[in-house]
Amino acid sequence: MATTSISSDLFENQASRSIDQEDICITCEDFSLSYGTKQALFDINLKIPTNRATAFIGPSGCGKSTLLRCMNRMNDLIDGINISGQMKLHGKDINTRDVNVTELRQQVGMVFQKPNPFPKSIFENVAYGLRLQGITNKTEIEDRVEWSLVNSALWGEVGDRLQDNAFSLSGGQQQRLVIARAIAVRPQVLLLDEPASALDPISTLKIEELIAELKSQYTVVIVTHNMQQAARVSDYTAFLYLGKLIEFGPTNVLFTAPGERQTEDYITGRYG
Amino acid sequence: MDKANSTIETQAKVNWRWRKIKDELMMRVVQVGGAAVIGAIALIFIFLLSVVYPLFEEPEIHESARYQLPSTALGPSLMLGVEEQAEIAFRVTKDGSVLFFDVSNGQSVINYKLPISDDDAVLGVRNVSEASRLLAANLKSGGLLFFKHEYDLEFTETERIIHPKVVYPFGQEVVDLGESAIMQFAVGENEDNLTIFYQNEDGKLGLTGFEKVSSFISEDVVLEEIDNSFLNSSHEPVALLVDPEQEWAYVLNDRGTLALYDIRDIASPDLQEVIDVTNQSSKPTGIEWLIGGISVLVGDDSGVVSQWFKIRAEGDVPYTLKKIREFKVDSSGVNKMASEQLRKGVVAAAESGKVNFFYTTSERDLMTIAATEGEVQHIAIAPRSDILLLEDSLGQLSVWDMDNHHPESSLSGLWGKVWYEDYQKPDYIWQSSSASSDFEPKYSLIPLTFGTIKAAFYAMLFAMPLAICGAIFTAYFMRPKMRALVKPSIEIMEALPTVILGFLAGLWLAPYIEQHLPGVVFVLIFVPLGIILSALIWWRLPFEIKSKIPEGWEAAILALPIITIVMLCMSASTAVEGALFEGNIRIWMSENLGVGFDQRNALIIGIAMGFAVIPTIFSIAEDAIFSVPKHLTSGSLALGATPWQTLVRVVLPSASPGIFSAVMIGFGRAVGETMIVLMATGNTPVMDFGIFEGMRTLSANVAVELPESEVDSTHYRILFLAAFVLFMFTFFFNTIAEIVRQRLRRKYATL
Ligand SMILES: Nc1ncnc2c1ncn2[C@@H]1O[C@H](COP(=O)(O)OP(=O)(O)OP(=O)(O)O)[C@@H](O)[C@H]1O
Ligand SMILES: [Mg+2]
Repeated sequence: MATTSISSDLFENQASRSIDQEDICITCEDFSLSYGTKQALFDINLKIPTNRATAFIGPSGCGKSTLLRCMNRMNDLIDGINISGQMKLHGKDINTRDVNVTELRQQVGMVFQKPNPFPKSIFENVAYGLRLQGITNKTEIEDRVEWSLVNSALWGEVGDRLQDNAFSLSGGQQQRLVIARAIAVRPQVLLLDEPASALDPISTLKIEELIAELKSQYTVVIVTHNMQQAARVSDYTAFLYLGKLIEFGPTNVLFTAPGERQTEDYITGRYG
Repeated sequence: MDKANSTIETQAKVNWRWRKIKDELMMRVVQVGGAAVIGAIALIFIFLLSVVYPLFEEPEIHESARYQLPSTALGPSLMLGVEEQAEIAFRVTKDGSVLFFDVSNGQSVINYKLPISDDDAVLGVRNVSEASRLLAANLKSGGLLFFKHEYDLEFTETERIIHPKVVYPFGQEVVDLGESAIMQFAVGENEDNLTIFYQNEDGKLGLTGFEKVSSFISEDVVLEEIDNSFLNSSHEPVALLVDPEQEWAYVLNDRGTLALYDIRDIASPDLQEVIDVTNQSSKPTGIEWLIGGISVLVGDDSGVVSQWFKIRAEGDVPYTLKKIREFKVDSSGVNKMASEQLRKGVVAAAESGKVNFFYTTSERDLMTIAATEGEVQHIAIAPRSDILLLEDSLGQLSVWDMDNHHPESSLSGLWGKVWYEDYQKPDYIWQSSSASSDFEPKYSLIPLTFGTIKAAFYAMLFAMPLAICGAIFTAYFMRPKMRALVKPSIEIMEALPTVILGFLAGLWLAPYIEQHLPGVVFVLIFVPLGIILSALIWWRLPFEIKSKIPEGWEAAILALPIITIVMLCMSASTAVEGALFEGNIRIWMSENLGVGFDQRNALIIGIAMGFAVIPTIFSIAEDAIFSVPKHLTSGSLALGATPWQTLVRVVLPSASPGIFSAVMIGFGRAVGETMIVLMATGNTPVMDFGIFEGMRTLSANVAVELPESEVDSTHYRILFLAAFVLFMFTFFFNTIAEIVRQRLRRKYATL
């Protein structure tokens, strides 16, 4: 089907494979969520493969962020939430009582839409998660901070001013700093909720390059409104609509040959 | 089409103009409001300063008249005096004339003659009591004659005429003190008795006591001798003094020593102490009472006036004389001294003709004038201290107008230790009034400032942990539903009139705590322990029970153990008091620990005023914590931080300026709080930091004393100074709080 506006050369570097061949990291089974009486997610069944980038797309308010937040239980903070079904990390339900939330969040890091550095120095922002874990060895912290900043493609820009306040960075730099902060604790999964929505094209490009880089070591889940971005960075894409998972599959398949009418309408810009 | 467009355009223009006008208007209103607030504060500031300023103003003096002594032919004066209105003065001459004259021009008003024979003469005249205007003259023929200068006022339609006269309170008879003439003498007099201490021509020192007896038939009072005795003195006396209560007699010797005699038994005076009162080489020139008859002023030929009074001694004598302070007049030597009649000011004249006015307690050297051409022979200060008369050796009289309203106040007196009469050592004392009339007010702001800080300190000790912990819990851990309930309820506490809090604290809490002191101490110890224990139990509790309580409402459960512990402590109180403290812990404390107990003490204030400032601190701190951006906390939580780690590492550092400013504003409020301290402290200006002692604060002091202080008096102005200090205190704390808040706002503007 040639109705899609995404040119096929975008998928050049993405090997076409099937989800069944992948090592699965996160599994949603009949996962539903409601905010009080308002149901936001309906029976989601989804498998997110390890060390791949998975994109969530869908119109505003369809529940992308909600689903993402469930993956490291950030929704715990919200009053009156009801969930049913299961959300599993490596086969283990994360919503049972014996799961230590803080450990879960160390394994499943999250980066928010709006950069949220702490009012501390650049160095301390990155070292924050390490200090939380009780790491006190100075050289180890320094090494991990440098590693994180190098891996988040920020080292070149801030390597010589680590003691500056994080607010002195630009928005794009701040977002990369926040990613550096998240990868410093070496999570298995990195959840990114519209990480580039507030950024200019150049910063966006850098973030995208970064994600492409990161997905070799991390399972990346990214929420985006930008079809091009989803097509560029992700291996798999899930399309959500009104709290339901409409379609999920390899990105090149979903964009070039969507199985559902709604998906096709959305990616071709007929609504959303 | 065009038409429609143009109407829309004009409509838009009109709208736009309207918006602009509204904008301008609002801006002006806001500007005027802001300026008015600043203006009002500036006016308060200026007003307070304008009332306080005269306290530190330099006094003024200028000569208003100078003339030859009236009736110059009669020779120099033996005594010079002025009446209260400072319109008429008098002088007494050798021949026994009492010459009244107009102060302003020296014109004679009326002359009297003392009842002495023509061949007799007056050798000297001394003031016995300035308050009752009693004078005594020693006669050449021997004995003393007592007389008073008195004034009748007559009011005509246009003016007031003063008619001076001389009266003889003990009759016109001369009081006989033996054959030989009296060379020196001093008289002590009170309502019932009169004692004469004298040196006669033979050089003997005699002491005679009299009782004042009023006769039945007439109103006359006569002096009846009770007893007499003679003293031995090895040196030539320069001057003698007897105190008004006739308990002590002083003899100043030419060697520069002052001898103190206990004369309570006139028949056998007892030498207490002989003490050197001048600097090594100098010789004493005279002694004079400071008003009140407690301090003795000693002048010497090196130009120093020193003030002495007796304090309780360590050794075998009960009292010892102590030099309190000294003033340098002029190196030419002190010639003459006089003290004010209503205050503790002193005028001393030097041989050089220089006259110096100083104030003893405030240690202020007020003014110096080069007054007369010749040596000063007599000094007369009008009772109201507005006129000074000086007679010099050339027979000239100069009249000086004085503008000297607040000599008692000095920075050292207000903020430093002052050695007051009858005190063992210099101290900080606030005591503005007393029942006794010759009382000297003591205005040290230190006890009041101390009391203010003490009250605020204990209030903060109680309020700060509660308010801040409460704010942290409410803002950060509490479920929104419960927060919506708790926050307004605590804030409504702020609207509680403090008079009610003070009333409850003073009349209910204070007696209650007094009765249940051990219980209260237990509560202070066991409630925190109980809270920790309940937390441990809660942690261990099986999940089934925990899950019954809605998340975030755990704190409500805590009320149960707290109430139980408080009730247990209170019910155990009496039993513990009986068993351990012999039934009364207050007596036990003062006997075994030396800790005093006032019913209305700092503990009461801490609790009552703590309650008043908790809502202030809580509200501001809660806002500060709650307004820490949520994306910061979720950022931290998403990194695997526990809520506690997030609180300590992200929330509190970000909210700390706000919490600090909350504490400062709370402190400012505690410092300025009046009603609670007024009603629940006992208002005793003591300087003891103990939790069971009372205090007096600046604010309560102003509230108590201002209504009864005389407008424009020193007391009044010092109360305004206290108010000014208070104003500066609260201004200071609020400014700090505001500066910190501004910083905070700037810091978070970038978030
Ligand atoms: N805290 C909340 N309380 C109640 N309802 C919520 C809350 N957060 C989200 N919702 C609702 O859940 C639905 C899904 O919201 P969600 O934020 O997941 O959408 P989204 O797909 O991320 O949208 P967007 O693309 O605009 O970010 C929306 O209808 C929203 O109104
Ligand atoms: Mg979203």
